[in-house]
Amino acid sequence: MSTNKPLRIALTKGRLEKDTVALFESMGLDCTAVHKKGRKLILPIGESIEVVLAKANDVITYVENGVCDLGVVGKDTILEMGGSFFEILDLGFGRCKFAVAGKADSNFFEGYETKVIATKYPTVASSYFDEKGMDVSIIKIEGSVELAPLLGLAGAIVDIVETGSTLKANGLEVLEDICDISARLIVNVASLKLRKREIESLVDGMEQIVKI
Amino acid sequence: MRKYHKLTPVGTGDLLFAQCAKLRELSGRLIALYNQMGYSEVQTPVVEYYEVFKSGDFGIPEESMYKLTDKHGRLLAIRPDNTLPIARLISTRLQKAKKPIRLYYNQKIYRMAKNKRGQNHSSMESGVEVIGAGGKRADLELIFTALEALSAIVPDFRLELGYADFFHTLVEKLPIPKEDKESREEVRELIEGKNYAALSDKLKDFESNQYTEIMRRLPRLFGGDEVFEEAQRLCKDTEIDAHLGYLHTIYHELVSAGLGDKIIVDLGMVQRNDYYNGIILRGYIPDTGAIVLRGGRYDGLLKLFGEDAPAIGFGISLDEILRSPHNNVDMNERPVPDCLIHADDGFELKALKYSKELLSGDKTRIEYSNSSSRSQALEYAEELGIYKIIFINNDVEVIEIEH
Repeated sequence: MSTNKPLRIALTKGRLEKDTVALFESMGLDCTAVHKKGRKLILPIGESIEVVLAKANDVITYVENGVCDLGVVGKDTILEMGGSFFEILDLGFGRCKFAVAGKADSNFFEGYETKVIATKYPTVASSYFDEKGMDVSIIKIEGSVELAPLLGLAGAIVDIVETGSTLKANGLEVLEDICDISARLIVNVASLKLRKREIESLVDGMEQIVKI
Repeated sequence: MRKYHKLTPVGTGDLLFAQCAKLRELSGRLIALYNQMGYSEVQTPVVEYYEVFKSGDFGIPEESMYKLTDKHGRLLAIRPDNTLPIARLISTRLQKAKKPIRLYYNQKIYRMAKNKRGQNHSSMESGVEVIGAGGKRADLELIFTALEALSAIVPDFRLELGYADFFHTLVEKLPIPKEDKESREEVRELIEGKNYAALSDKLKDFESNQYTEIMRRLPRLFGGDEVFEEAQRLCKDTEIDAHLGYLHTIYHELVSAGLGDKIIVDLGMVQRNDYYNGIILRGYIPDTGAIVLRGGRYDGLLKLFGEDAPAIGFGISLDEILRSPHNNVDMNERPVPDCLIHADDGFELKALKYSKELLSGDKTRIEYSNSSSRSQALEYAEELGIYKIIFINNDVEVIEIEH
């Protein structure tokens, strides 16, 4: 398809954005516009790429609807939001995991009563417990989820755990690991087919650096 | 308290004026084409028994169906798919009809999407099914029809070909124990999502052989001729080779006929719950990010309805086409009549009859004035931008208005 439009890639603002820009720089792409971005949200990288800075959930929305060709987003967001797109590369950074955590030495899984889970990720939590065949009641919390078991609102939490130090500081510990998380490169379904050559050469370039 | 009486359900919406016109125009072009190519129209009910859509392993995901019950408590579903009702129809009312049967439909489907990300829950689908014809002859006819159909309604597109049995056979040959359905499903999902990294990791769990090697490359095996070369190099197996060879022949014939610039190939095209077994089709257009055409061969599906016949078909989502930027339908455009006809008191029916006479054989659009006086009618015409007004009493007075 003849198109001179730049490839548009949505980056999750914050750490994933910085890691991705570093990756682009080690590929030799010119990222000065991103470093001097000010308040701009759409920025050129090199000659044929345009970066869009967005919140994690919106990265998926933009890619799914085809207004961005590619996106960099955490596996956590992908698991929570779902959607139809291709997830073509594990970028290796932004590593952490989903886990069930509760008070140290608590017997969370024992007893007959329905367990209460507090989480920012209700979809991830309910699909995990559905798979275990366990009826749980899930409460969505927006801020520090660690508070819920401390205040007695929930027996355990499902959350992202990186080092575990926040859990430890609050007398909580990981009860079960759910899955590993890292940053992923996602691609719009039609874009991959219609702009195969451009996307593949970018992805191959990224993959070579990621593999090192 | 009433709360929803001014809203349409999530994912649905009203279409107005120009949008309706555009949708009719697209449908019209397709219908004209289908008729020319020997297809006949069928319409199936908007509601069907739920079981129509839950046939064997092929069902539509239950959470995506709008469900209701009839007065005997039987479960019904609002049509989420056009092919399954047509399979029902073929196996019942058209059971004895001479094959092949070529059908087309132009009707809406309804499916709930989980997320609030702008997906439509209803879509006007226009498509064809050829029942009772198998093999290359029918496959080429359908692919050609799909190319013609897309050419009739969009300026640029790509039609992608895949082969369902290629993947099915490959999965059978993987060193995954038969009872490990979970791993098979996982592999399918990873290939469907083109998740290169996770697929590679997953396949490490199994002993490596030529089948795992080609599986590992499968998400990348899309494009043109080179795809076949690579696949054949990676895997030397007569059964797999036969599937590849068939798709290659189809591809080659399309290229030789000068249709190659519109065709791409994806060996990793797989779908959940799919009833396809041979050729599978997908259509893409630039700047929408969506799949606008889906289809394929589904030789095993009719058996579930008690009829055993090969079948192949495709459906085009006209809603997706309508959304593409090149259609640029102006939502705010309200059609303006060419002429306003205003009757003085007592001459209403004369005016109506006159407008009908005036219209016969003409494409002029006339609006009958509801204003109570000539001056009001003039004001109305000026506001709407109507260029001509006809006053009817004993005489007929034509007035041109300048805007």
